Amino acid sequence: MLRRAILLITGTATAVTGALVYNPPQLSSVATDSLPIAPSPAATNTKPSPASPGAKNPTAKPTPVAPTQNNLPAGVFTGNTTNTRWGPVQVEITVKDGVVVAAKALQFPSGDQRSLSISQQAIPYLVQQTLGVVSAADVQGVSRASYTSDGWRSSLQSALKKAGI
Amino acid sequence: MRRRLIDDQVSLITGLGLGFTIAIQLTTLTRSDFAGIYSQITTASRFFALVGSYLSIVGLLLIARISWIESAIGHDRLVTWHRKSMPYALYFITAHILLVTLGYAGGDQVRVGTQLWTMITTYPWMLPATLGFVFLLLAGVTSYRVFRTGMSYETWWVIHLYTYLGVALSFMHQILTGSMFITHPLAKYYWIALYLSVVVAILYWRILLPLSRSLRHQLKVDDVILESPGIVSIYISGKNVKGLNAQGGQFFSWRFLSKDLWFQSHPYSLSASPTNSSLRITVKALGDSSTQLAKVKKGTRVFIEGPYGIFKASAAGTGRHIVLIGGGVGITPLRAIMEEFPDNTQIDVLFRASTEEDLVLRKELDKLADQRGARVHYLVGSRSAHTMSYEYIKKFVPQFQDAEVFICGPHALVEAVKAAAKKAGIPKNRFHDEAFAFHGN
Repeated sequence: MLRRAILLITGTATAVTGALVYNPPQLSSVATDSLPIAPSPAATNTKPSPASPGAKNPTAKPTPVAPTQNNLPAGVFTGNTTNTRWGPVQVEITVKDGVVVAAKALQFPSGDQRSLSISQQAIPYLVQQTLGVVSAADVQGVSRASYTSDGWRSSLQSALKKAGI
Repeated sequence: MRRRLIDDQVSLITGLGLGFTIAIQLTTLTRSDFAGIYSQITTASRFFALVGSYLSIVGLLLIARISWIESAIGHDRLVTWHRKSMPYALYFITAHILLVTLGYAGGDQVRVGTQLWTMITTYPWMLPATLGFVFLLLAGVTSYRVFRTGMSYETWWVIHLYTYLGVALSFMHQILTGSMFITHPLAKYYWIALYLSVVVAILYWRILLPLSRSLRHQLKVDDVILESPGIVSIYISGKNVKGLNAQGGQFFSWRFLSKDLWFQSHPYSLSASPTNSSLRITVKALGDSSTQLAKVKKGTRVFIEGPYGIFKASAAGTGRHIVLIGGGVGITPLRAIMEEFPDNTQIDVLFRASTEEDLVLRKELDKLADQRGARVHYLVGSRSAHTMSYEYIKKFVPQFQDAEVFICGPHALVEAVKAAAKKAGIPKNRFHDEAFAFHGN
């Protein structure tokens, strides 16, 4: 009996240790700019729902429009895809005279019913918070949607960088 | 030696599986899982879900009749482990449901009832999962002694069958909504493999193998003989019966394909060493189904599952003095085992019974003892007259402490002899008992 218990515990400990060494949990941060952009299998499977706030082909390229005379950045800029625990987040912003005048989510967590419902509630607030910002840090985020908010900030930061803001 | 090795491997692999299961959650933990009490509750609920599901999978594998595990550990011990582990699976899954509802409801600031309803009705595959949980719950509740005693074996068995459906129905909601599976393909593949292994094991060892054996050996009822009042021996004939590799003392699950009996299957151990053309069981016609067995007609087709069990002559060390202790109808597997020891083996049989009438297969026993030079001690009378203590057994078997013991009989007898063997200093590997070998009650 004791022998079995020892073997059982040894096995459990070995497997846990092995898995943790192979793939340590990301307890310090959720999503950063340094994350690889390659979409995870989950991301490619994610089909934005028709009810999504302005979903578009996720592979859309930035489409800069002719700069205005004042040389301030303008155009549509797509941020990097940020993978969060619940799925990818990708932000597209429209910039006019150096100011973010519109934002929308090209991708957002929607792989399961709960994520979808949280995303749909949170994204309108995130859009509101994004208008006029000069740094992603200014986006307060939405409570109860911390993953989506973090992912949003991360993707937004890369979009702002492309826009030169 | 080989048995010990397999026993160790089973423990180790079960441990590894548990580790990987826990790791699925640990490796995908993030800060937000601990942000606030409701997130923590949700995180805990996932832990219970994973471990509970894993336990239920292990519980099913334990009774999947995987032959090399059966022959190393023994069917009765596997069933005991199944009985011990499955309640925890149920507790853990119940904890998961309570905690996830609480965690989500708290986080969304809605009523617990509302949250539960929303989850069941809108999340994918939650309705089947709920139904699956109800099946598991029913199988669990009906297995408690209080409920089981008032229920026929067949009812219990059918309810138990739904466990498979219950486990299967809950699978999809895990894969589709379980956070650790959504973003982690490796975790998902591991989980799918785990469930698939159970499906394959059950299909092969519980269905395909017994079915093909039954068809290949063409077993039929050859004769039904009344041994003594209430006791019948059923002779079953078949082709190439040696191919089943059955030994005396082992048992099969028997299904007699008659109009009244085909839907039930019962374990009975062999009461004679099998020949190449026949098997024999000896049954006390007590319960509802075993009474019907006395009326089974010649020529009835018989389907079997087995042989199971490690209660057999080959489990004994070579050259040992063998002591076979039987109580009532519990003598039947011992009678079969007795036939299979090498010729020069020293054998003592202690046969306990309350009345002379309960001395099942007495004539056969005497004849066998005569042929083999074994001694049969008939201990007829009340329990107080035959205490079966160490001192009492020593009167018949002076070298009891050096013997290899096989016991089959009512629980009280087994416990008394177990205590006597302990007092004699007989180690566990020289003491053989098999709960399934005894069908007296």
